[in-house]
Amino acid sequence: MTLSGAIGGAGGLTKQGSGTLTLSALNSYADNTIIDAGTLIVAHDGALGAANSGTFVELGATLALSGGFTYATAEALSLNGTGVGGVGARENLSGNNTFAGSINLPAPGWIVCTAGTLTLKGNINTGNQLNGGLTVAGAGNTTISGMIFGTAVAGLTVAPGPGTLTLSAQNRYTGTTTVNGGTLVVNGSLPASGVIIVNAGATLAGTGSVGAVTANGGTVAPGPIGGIGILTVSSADFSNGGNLLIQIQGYKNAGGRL
Amino acid sequence: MILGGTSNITFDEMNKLSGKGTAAGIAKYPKGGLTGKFSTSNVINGTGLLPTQFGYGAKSFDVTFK
Repeated sequence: MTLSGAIGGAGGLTKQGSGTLTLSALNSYADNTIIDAGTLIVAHDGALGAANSGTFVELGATLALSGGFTYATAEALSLNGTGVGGVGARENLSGNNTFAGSINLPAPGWIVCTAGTLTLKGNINTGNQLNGGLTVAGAGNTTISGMIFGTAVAGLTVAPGPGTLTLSAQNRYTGTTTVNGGTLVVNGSLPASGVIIVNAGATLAGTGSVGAVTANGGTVAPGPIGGIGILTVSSADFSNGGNLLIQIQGYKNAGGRL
Repeated sequence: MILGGTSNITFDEMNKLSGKGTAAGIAKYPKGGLTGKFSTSNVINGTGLLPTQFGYGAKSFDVTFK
C-alpha cells in the first residue's frame, strides 16, 4: 500500500501486519511512528511525521529508504533486531539516500544497505547490551558521519558481504569492532583503547586512527580504497594469517603506511 | 606489532613502481616494538620489481625492491 497524501493530526502512525507500506508525502502527524511488523518504506523527506516525535522499529520490522533522496528532517530512530527476514531494521533499498536523524539501539540492531549508498549523519548510540550492538551489512556502501557511542559489548560488527562501511567521525563506542566481510574504512577515529578484529575475507582500510588490531586472516590496507595513505593503529597482530597490504608507486614518502 | 606465525605482507605496485630502491618506514611501531617477521610476501599489479630485502629496524621497517 502507498499513502501519497499528507497525513496530519495529533496522533501517530502504527504500521502493523507483514505487508509493505510506503509513505511518499510530507506528513505532519504529531505523535510517534511505530513499525510493529512488516516494512515501512519512506520515499519523501518528512514522511515520518513531526520531527519532535520519534520512529520506533520493533523486532522483526524494517524501516526502508528508497528512491535516492535526503531525509533532512532530524527524525530520531529507535532500531531493534535484524528486520524482516534479516534485511535490517533499517534498510537502504535503492538509490543514494541520506538520513540526518540520530539512531538509538535499545537492543542489538542491523542496518543493511542492500544497494546504492546510505549516508547516516546523525549520532548512533549502540546501547549497553551484552549480546550485541550495531551491525552493518549489505552489498551497498554505507557512510556514517555521525558519532557512534555506547557501551554495548559488541560495539560494531560489519557482516559478510561486498559492501563498504566508512566511518568519518571521532567515535567513542567502547565495544569490540569485528569486521567479518567487506571493507571497513576508518577516516575518523575509533578509541585508542578499542579492539578491532579483522577476519578472513574482510579488509580494514582508511586514513584515520584505531585501537588494537588483530588480523585473523583478514587484510589491513592503510589508505583510502585504491589509494595511498597512513592508518594509525595502537597495535597490530598479523600472526594468525593476517595480511598487511601496502600500495606503493615510488620510494619518496614510500607508499601506504601503518 | 606482532608478526611471525602465518603473517603475510602484500605489495601492490599499482603497475607504477619503477627502478630499484628502498621504501623506508612502511610500518612504524614506536610503542611496543616488533615481534617476529613476516612469514611470506607477495606482489600484485607488479612491474617486475620484487621485494628482496626487509630491514626490520628498532622503530620501523623498510623494504628494498630490485
